[in-house]
Amino acid sequence: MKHHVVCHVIALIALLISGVSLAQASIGTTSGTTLTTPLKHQEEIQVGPYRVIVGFNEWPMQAERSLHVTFSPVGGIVGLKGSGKFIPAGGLTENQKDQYPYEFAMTRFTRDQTVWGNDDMSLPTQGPWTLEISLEGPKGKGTGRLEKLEVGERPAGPSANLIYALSMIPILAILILCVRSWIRVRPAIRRETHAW
Amino acid sequence: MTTRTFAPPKGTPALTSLEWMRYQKLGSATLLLGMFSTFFGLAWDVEWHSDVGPDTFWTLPHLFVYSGAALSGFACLVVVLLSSVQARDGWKRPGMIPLFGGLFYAPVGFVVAGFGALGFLIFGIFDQWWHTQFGFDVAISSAPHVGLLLSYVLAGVGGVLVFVQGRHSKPVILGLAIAFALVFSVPVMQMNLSELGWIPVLLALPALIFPLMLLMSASLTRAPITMLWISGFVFVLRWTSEWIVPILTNAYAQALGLYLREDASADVGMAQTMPAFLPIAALAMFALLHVGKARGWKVAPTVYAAGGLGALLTYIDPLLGPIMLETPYLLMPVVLLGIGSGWLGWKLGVVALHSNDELNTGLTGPVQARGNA
Repeated sequence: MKHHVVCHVIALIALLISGVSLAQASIGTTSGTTLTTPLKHQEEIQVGPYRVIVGFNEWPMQAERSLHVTFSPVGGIVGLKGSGKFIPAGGLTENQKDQYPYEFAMTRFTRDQTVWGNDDMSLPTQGPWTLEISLEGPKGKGTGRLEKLEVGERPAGPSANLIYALSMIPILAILILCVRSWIRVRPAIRRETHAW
Repeated sequence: MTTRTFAPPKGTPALTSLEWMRYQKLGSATLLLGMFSTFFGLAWDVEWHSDVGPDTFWTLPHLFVYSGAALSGFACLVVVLLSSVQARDGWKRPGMIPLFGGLFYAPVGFVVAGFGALGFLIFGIFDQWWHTQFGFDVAISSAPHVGLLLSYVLAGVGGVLVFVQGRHSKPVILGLAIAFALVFSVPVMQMNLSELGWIPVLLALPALIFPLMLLMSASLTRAPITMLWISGFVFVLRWTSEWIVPILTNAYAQALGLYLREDASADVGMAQTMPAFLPIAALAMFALLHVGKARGWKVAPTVYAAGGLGALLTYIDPLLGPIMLETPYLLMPVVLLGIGSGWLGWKLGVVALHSNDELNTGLTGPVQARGNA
């Protein structure tokens, strides 16, 4: 019996050590450079009296592939308020309108507090998109557009529907388990179903 | 049907009954720990994504998610191997089922949970490949995520079955296992339904699942108090994660030198998609069953009433209620669903109660050896 206690203690210590070292590795890998993505492409838009540099971390852009977009008004963001919109060639569908961030308020980029930015978006469809920016500040209001932002084909990979179908296997397993034991036990004829 | 021969076991067993029981206990505790770790990691990860941003594979929340799945998977694997070794020597224990035509023998709960954890890790690898193609996560309902999350729902079912021991199921520990399965499964389904835009299903889902699981537990243990244990654990897990996760996110973002979004809400999605005051519904259902049992009311109508009432109270939960009541047309369907799912749960409890007897037939003593005549 003592042998088992020793084994358990060793296993527990090993778990703790591996947990702590994994946590350290995790902080080591995630801190610093890995989370900041270099911008691959920049465009300039005239938004009323303001000049805005728009940065993309993916270029050329691809449908369904996630990207970071930064907005950096020349002269800084202090004192300015704004919003942006990504519009596909055919306009946004009702469903797309509900899903941020095709329309969004300008907020500080979490990786660089001196600019605005959006780091959790992807454009859903292939084709030309328009980026519209509206700004308001000491020099007044303005709206500017960046037209014909070309979004390329969805990255290669199995169709989402196929994978969704595969994803249903676990639920199928639960159903089979329930139905099989139900048929074996036949709860309707069991005393317990109708007794406390 | 194969004919089984009964031969005396060879030599002494690899494990005594007491040792085997202890290993099973250790295995089930490790499985529960893994399930908790995955739930907690996911609650943190979802909040982290919405308040701070995308990440690499190696973030702390991911670490909790994946090491939890790995931990539960290992626990299941060890138990399955240990029981298979015993079965091979002719020492079969109650509740073991053959797997892959008798290559392995193991308790059904560990088998199911093991496959769930395996599915999680396989879809996890696939998810990593997905990220190289499509970039970081912008949605919870990406195709590999759905597979990964549903696999762990299966692991949750297995985790519950581990503690289903026919007439001997203990209300507290079974309640804990069911609570762990629920706090993971319900929010992940809710979040996916929300992204898919299936709003009526999303609103009605808790009213379907909670009465079902609560009444299943009451029927299985024959002790309505199990419902109170489940709701209590769900309550504690929900509120603790809502309180602690934003604190951890702040600290972790600071440690990494990242900033919170300007519009960070500190909303813990996994917590907020659960009913905030499940014990109210559970208490009402408990009271009904308790009185019904004491006064000898007919079982079926009492269970219908408990299911309908439980669904209604889950639906108009004090925190979610104001949102739910914007769709009053769902009230009637929800009550009807509750009656149906409650009765289904009650019957599933009987199924679980007896499925072990069925499995145990001929396996109760260490006398049966594998082999065809």
